[in-house]
Amino acid sequence: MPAEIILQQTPDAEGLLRKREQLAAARATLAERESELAEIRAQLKTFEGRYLRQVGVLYAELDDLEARIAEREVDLYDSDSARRRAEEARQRAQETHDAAFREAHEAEEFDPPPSLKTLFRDVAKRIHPDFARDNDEQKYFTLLMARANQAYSRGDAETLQRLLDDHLEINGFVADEGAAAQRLRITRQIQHAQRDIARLDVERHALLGSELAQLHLEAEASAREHRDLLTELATSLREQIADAGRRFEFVDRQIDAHGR
Amino acid sequence: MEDKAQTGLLHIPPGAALSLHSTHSSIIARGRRDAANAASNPHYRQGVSDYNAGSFSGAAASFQLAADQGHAESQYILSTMYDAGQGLPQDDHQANYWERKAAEQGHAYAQANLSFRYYAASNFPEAFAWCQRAAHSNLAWAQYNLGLMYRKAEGVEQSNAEAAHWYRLAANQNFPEAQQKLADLYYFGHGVPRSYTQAAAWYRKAAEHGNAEAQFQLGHLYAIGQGVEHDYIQSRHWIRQAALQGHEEALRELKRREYRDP
Repeated sequence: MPAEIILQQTPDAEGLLRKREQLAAARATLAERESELAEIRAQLKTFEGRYLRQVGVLYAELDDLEARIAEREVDLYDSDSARRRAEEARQRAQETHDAAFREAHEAEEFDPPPSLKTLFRDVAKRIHPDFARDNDEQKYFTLLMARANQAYSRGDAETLQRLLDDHLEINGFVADEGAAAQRLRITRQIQHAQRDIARLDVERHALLGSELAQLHLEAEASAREHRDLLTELATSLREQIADAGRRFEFVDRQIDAHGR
Repeated sequence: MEDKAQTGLLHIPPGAALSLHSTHSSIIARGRRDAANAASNPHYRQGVSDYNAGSFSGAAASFQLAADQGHAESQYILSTMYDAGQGLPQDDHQANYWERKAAEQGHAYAQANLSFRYYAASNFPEAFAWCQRAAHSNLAWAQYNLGLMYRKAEGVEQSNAEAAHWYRLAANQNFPEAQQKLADLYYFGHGVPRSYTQAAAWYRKAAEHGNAEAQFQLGHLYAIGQGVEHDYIQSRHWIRQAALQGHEEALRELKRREYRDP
C-alpha cells in the first residue's frame, strides 16, 4: 500500500497543520466578535442620536432657562450667594448644551492630525488586500483593513499602532521560512488573535454596562408594553420647560415692579 | 432659605464635569433617572393595586392623580375608565382628553383608540395619522386598520401595495383578519404578484385561528384545486367550520351540496 506511506505525515508537518487550524479557528472567532461588537456599537449610536435629538436638546433648553432665572435673581437679590448660584447654573447649562449638541459638532470637526494620517498610510500599505499572498490571507487582510479604517475614523491611534506592530512582528520571519520559523510565526498570530478577542470582550462588557446601554434596554422594555420612553421623557421635560418659562416671567415682572 | 434652594439644585461633581465624555454620559444618566422616577409613580402603583382589588373608584382617583403628573400609562387607563364609566361617571369628553394626552406621549394603545374615535366620527385624515403612529409601534390591530384605510382610500391615497405591506406586518403577528385580507390580495393579485399558493397558505393560517371568511375561502380553494391539491374532504370540513360560525355563503353552499353529503 504505497499510498498509505505517502499520506503518512512527518510529525513536524502534522503539528504545523494543527497550528494552522487553530489559527483559522481563532481568527473566525475574532471576526465574529468584531461584527457583534460593531452591531452593538451601531445600535447604541443610533439610539444615542435619537436620545440627544429628542430629549438632550430639551435638557439643554431647560437648564438654559434655569440659568437665566438665576441670573435675573441676581438683579433682584443682589447677594453673593445669588451670584454664585447664577454662575453655577450657567456652567451647568453650558455643560448640558455641550453634551446635547456634541454630536453635531463632532461630525463637522473630523480632521485627523497628520501623525494619524501617516500611521494609517503605513498600516494600509502593509495590509492592503491586494498584496496578500494567498486566498486566506486576502480574506484576513480585508478584515484588518476594515478594522484599520474604523480605527482611523475614530481617531484611534493605539489600534493602528497595534496593527502595525503585529504586522512587523509577524513579517520579521518571512524571508526564509523553515518549518520552525513558520511554527513560530503561526504561534504569534494565534496569540495576536486571542489577545484581540480578549480586548473585544472587555470593550463589549464596558459598552453593555454603560448608562446608554441600560437606558436603551429600558426603552426597549417599554416599547414591548407599547409605550415610548423617549417621548414620555420629552413630554415631561416640555412641561418643566413651560413651568420654568412661567417662573422666568414672574421674576421678570418682580424686577419691573421693584424698578431695579 | 437660600441654603435650601442650594441643596435643591443637583450639581455635577466638579471632578466628573471635566471631560466631555463624562458630561456626555451624565446627560444620559439624567434621562435614566428621570424616566425611572416617572415610571415608579406611587399613585400609579396605588391605582393598579386598587384596580386589581376591584376597587374601581379608588383606582380611578389614584390614576387621576398620576395622570395629572403626566404619567402616560395612567392617562391611558383613566381614559378607558371614563369610556366604560368604570369607577367614575361615563364621560366621552374626559376620555377623549386623557386619551389624547397619552397618545401624544407615544402610548400606542391610546393612539389606536384615538384613531378609532376619529374614524367613528368620520374624520379620516386624523384617524389615519394616529393609526399610522400606533402601527409604527408594532401594534397589530393598528397595522391591520392602516391596511384597511390604504385599501379603501380613507384619509390617504389608495394603495394596494401599502395595504399588503401593513396587512403582512399584522399577519406575521398572527392577526387573523389581516391574514385573511392578505390572502385576498394574493388571490386577486392586488398590490402583490398573484399567487394562489400564497393565498391558500394565508387563508389556512387565518382559518386555523377561526376566521370564518378564510375558512370558507379555503374550502372553496380545496373544491377547485387552486393553490392546493383538490381535496373534497378538506373542502367540506372548512366550509362546515365556516357555516358553524353562521357564514351565510357557507350555509348556502352546504345546502347546495346536501344531495352529495346527506
